[in-house]
Amino acid sequence: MYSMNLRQPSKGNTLKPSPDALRRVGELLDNYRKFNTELFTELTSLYCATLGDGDGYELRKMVELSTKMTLVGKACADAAGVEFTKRRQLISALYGGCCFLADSFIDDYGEAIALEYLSRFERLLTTGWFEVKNDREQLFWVIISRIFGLCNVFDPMLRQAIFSLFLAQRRDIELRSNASTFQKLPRTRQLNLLKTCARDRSGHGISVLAHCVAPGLSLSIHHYLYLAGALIMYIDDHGDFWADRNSRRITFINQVRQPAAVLGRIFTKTIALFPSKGKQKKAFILLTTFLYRYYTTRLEKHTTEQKRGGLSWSVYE
Amino acid sequence: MNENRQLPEIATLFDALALSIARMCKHPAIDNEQPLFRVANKQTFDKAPWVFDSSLGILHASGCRAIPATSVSALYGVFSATEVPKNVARCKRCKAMNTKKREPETASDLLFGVIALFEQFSVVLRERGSEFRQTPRGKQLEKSLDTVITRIDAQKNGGAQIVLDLMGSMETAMNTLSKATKTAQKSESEKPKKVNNGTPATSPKKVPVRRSQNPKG
Repeated sequence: MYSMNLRQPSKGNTLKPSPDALRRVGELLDNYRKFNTELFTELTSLYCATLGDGDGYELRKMVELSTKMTLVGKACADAAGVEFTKRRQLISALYGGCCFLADSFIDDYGEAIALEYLSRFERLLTTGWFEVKNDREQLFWVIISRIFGLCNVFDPMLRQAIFSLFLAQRRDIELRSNASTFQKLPRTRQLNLLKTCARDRSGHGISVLAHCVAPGLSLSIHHYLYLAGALIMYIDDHGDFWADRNSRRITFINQVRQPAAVLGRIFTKTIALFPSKGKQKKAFILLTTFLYRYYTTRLEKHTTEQKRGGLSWSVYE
Repeated sequence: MNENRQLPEIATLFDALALSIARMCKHPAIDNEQPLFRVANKQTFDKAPWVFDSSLGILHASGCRAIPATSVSALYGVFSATEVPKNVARCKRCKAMNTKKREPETASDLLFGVIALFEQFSVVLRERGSEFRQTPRGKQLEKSLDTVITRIDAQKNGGAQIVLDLMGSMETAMNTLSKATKTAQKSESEKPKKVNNGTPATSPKKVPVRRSQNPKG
């Protein structure tokens, strides 16, 4: 049906990266973590002091997410063949902070707040206006404005990625809000919806980051990064399996009968699709190494949290 | 690491500007139903001649029936053939990348965009201007720009009207140029084509009317 098939699994990609590559990822994460700790300590002290309250749990979570995003931003830059300058690093770090806050609006304050946030975010995207109502939103607005100032938000692919991400978040909330209707659907349909929703949330999420960091990214690279984003979501959901079950949040991974096996198949299939020869393979080494590390750490988290009943407050790397 | 501290003042100034813009959302003089800017423009996205399925890595013509239902939410509009590298898979059913042209943007859209922003903020700009003039810096500026400010102050609307008239003239000139370009393009496309439609019909021969030779009567 297709004139060329980019989706033939490659034989060149082995799953386990080299020790050097894993060490490099560890070093990069440590460097980015230091930078982001300073960045967000300053930003929160200026615009949302409550985030650093108590033992600073939320601030640490924000820094961790933004550290991962910075590494993914670096991986996107490598894949696109551009230098990961300080500006790109800053964009990636800020984007991680933005994602943390946006996720908290959607997940942490109940359905009514989530829907209200969505409608206000839609207004931001369609009119540019955003009414700041509290400190957390003030911080969110400052971060978004800095990102808008650092990259061309009107790049056609970036605009579409931002809008598609918003639509994916909206679908996710609608699925949760209409749980009774959802439960009446055939199981296959339910799983397909959940899988597509998860794919889109993170696929478009990574696309936003990639097009901020490397505008003019080629479509083929965009495709690989989109798949990587989808994989990240499934891995993430596997790590949060028990916490999600506790809060009765349904995800694709926590609804399948054998989540570890399903995740393993998705992981293997996705990695096999990435370029496996020459320069292109080199360009994807950081991404595949990060994905492997993330996958293995979240398998561990799943096991650890199962023993703790999913009520742990640990911050995982 | 102190890279983040290199330009802290500029960054916090930028933050202050961003927060001021957010506060303007509630300003009674601002028409916040009018968009400040539009990141999500679905009408534009829907006009893309091609779409790229991010999940499967395949390019389709817009509206292609071979696009799977699960890919619809992963589609990205592609507006130009130059955006598509050779190694991207094309759908064989719709044969993506047959010639389809996007409507060109008119230069007057940009001009109207500037006018729209000016109109949206004119009240706030006037208020800010009048407040600023009371400050020491404002008074100093007023002295040095006395003639210009007096004229604008005396003819507030006239001054704005001058700018608008100037923009209107520019817009008229651009429209004239645009029409001339379109006319030239139209006449180029309407040039008679060399098509063989057979031999042209010959004009009918005149048949002489035979009149009776018999005399009347």
